[in-house]
Parts: sequence; C-alpha cells; structure tokens
Amino acid sequence: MRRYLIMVLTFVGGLYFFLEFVLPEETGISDMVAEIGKVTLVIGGFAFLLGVINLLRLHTAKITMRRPGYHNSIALMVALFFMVIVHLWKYYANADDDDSVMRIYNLLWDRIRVPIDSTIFSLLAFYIVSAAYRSFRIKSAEAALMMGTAVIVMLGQIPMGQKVTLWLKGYETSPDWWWLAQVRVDTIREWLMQVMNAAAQRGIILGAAVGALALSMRIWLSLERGSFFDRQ
Amino acid sequence: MHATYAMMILIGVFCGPIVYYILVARAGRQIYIRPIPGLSAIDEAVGRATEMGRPVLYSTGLSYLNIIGLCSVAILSHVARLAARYDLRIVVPVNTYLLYPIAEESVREAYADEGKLDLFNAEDVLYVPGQFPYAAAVVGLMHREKPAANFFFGYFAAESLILAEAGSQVGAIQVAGTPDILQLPFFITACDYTIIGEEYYAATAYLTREPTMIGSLRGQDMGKVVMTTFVVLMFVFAILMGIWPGVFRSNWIVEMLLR
Repeated sequence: MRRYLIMVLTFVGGLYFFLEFVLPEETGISDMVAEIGKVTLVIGGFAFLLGVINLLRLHTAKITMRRPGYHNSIALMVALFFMVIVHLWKYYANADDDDSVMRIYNLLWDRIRVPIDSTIFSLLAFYIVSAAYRSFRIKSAEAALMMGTAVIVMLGQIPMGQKVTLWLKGYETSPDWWWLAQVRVDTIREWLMQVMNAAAQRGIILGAAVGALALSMRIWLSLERGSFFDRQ
Repeated sequence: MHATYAMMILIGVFCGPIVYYILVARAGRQIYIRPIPGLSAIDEAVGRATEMGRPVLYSTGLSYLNIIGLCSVAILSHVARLAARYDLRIVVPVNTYLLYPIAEESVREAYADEGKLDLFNAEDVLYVPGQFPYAAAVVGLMHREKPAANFFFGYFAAESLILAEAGSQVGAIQVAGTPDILQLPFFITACDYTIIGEEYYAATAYLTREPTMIGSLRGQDMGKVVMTTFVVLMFVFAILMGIWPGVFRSNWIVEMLLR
C-alpha cells in the first residue's frame, strides 16, 4: 500500500512540474510552485534534525567510550554548541556590528571557520602537483600528445609563456606571412580551449543531460528497479 | 522558465525513443548494452577489499536531493549489498542533510536484504556538513580506516582532487563517477576507473540488468543519434549557407528555435 502511495505521489508531483514547464504562464499553473517549494523546506527541516542527531550520537558515544581521538569529538561538540548559542544570541538580540556578541560571532566565523576552510582548500595546490606529475608521465603516444597539449595550454595561460611567441604578432598585416601570427602560443591555446575542449565538453554535457532525462523519466514512472526505488 | 516550441520538440525527440524502447524491452526483446569498465570494476574493488579485510568507503560528495544524488544512492545501495554479502564494513560520509537519511536507510536495507542486519552500524553512515569540513573529515577517515576501495559517486566540486589523491595515497582502488565535467579530469587523474557523462546515469540499469531500464538506455542512445544527425545536418547547412548565401538562410531555423 505504502509503495503504491509513493508511486502515485511521485507521478502526480512529476506531472505537475512537467505541465508547469510546458504550459504557458497565462494558464496560472506556475502560481503553486512557491507553495510546493515550502513542502521541501519542511521535509528538509526534519532531515536536518536527523543529521544533527547523527552527529551528536556518534560523538557522544565516542566520548563516553573513550575511543581513540575522543578529544577531537569533545572539540567538535564544544564548537557546535558554542556556535549555536552565539548564533541564536545574535539573532534574537538583533545585534549590530559593534555589539560584543557580533564580535564573538565574527571571531568564530570570519577568523576561525573561514581561515580553516581556506587552509583545506589550499591543500589542493599540492595535490594538483602530485596528480599532474602522475598524469603527465609520457608512457604512450596518447600521454605524449596530452603532455604537449598541456604545455601549450599552460604556456598560453601565463604572461611569460605568451611573451615567447609575441613577436609573431608583427606578421598579422603581412600579406604572405599573416598565418605566422596564428601560431602564437596564446592563439593555439585559445583554439584548443574554444574548439577542441569545448566540443568534447559539450558532447559529455549532451550525453549527461539525456542520461538525466532518462533517469528522471524512470523515477517519475516508478520504473527504476534494483535499488531503494522499488522498496516499500 | 517555460518551454519554447523548440524545447517541446526536443523533449519529444529524446523522450519518444526512451518510451518506445522501454516498451520493446518489456515485450521481451533482448537489448545489448556496451560494457562500462568503471561499473564492472565495482565488483572487483569490493572483492579486493574482502581479500584485504579492510572497509569500503563510499562518498556521495556534495550531492543534494536531486537526480545526481538519487543516482548516487542507487549505486550506494548496490555497493552496500556487495559489502554486506562479503561481511565488509562500508563507511558512508554524507554531506547534505536531505540525502543523509536516504543514504542511511539504503545501507540498512542492503544489509537487511543480505540477512546481515547485525553487521550494520548506523555510525558508519556519517553526516558531515560543509564543503571543506567534509573534505577534511573524509581524508581523515581514509587515513584512519585505510579503506581498500573508495567509491566517489555524485556531485563534487573543488574537494574532488583532495579526496581522490588522499585515497590514492592510502593505496585504495578507486572508482569515481560524476556528471560534472569540471571534476572529471581530477578523477581521471587520481582514480583507477572513472565513469563519465551519461554512464553515471546508466549505472543502475547496467548494474541491475533490468530489461525496462536497459530499454531506456537504448532509448536515450537513439535520442542522441537523432540529435547528432541534426547537428551534422546543421553543419552541412552552415557550409551551404557560406557557398550559396542567397539560397540557404538560417533565419527560419533561428526563428523556430527562439519561438
């Protein structure tokens, strides 16, 4: 019974959004979109609560059982509750920028949370180097082609690389040697990015969009099988 | 945003073949789909984890409750079932609160289906909010748990390479899949197998071999054939426009597409 109810709700919901997309605005069918969106917010609220409960359960168990690394869990719990209290305080006090609660909030968010985020993000630079080292090892003809292309793109991206072939720009107006101006590093880079790369990307995007459409149809018509979709 | 006439035609072009081939497959006709190495490698990766006696890590990335996230959970369901079958632990860090209960339920049901509900540990499905906190948490998990196989399926942003490189450092076999083209190069570089573009959405059909779903795969391929033919025809038309500008004009096509 529950399964059929879900199937009917999925179909009706999908049908509404399909009709909302294909029918013109004058029909007034779009008026309900915002109201239906609120349902998602309500469900999201419950789901968020589940997420917080999971965090609390996991780390409380870790602290009480004195599992390895439990001090990290203590730090997390303290940070979680402290941030919640400060945020609620700021919200209900209608705090201005000069208020002490606002200064505490800025300290926690702008001077602790944001720099920590930036630190993790900056690790990417080192990971890119190690990943690039592995990718650009010339092990085959294809790898050599990719390496050559990457060198051109990188050179074409930086001012120093562009300067290497900048002198060819002088041939732009030459009636016989005009084509030399077209083989500058930055011009080849642009061609690689705008033509070769863009064509491949658009091919993948088109395929992915059609794939998403097919999967959406399967879910809408409750045809998706073999996973949680066909459960009670 | 409402559909233009051109969009409606495209919906028909893509949905028509999908519905037709679903009906064909339901009628019992066998439909061939090409092998997708990345999806076949899922079994291999779980098998390796079983041999090494180490857990499996499945990351849904920053997937939200949308078609990308649902597809990721469908693949998670398959991986969790394999893990349960071989008495393995599966660790699933989830970034978004809307996907978290679905992922947890999916893993629980997978263990229950295999009759191993006692092996399921709810604490192995973690809720980790925030993009870089998520990246830091998953990298930490990899270094502590030393998973033998890592799966990255879903929507990823800048953290994709952080996760994949960290997984590579702990020596895990890695399978990734995302429809996001910006992260594909990172996964191709750092993972053993990468599923790209529409292969990501074909995963559940490929893994379950359900005839209806395979029919829809063939249908989407036919839709792409029609679209590719259209692109080639427009390419020829553009050349003819250059040769005989007085005869071939693009105005009517542009007007039709913009209506």
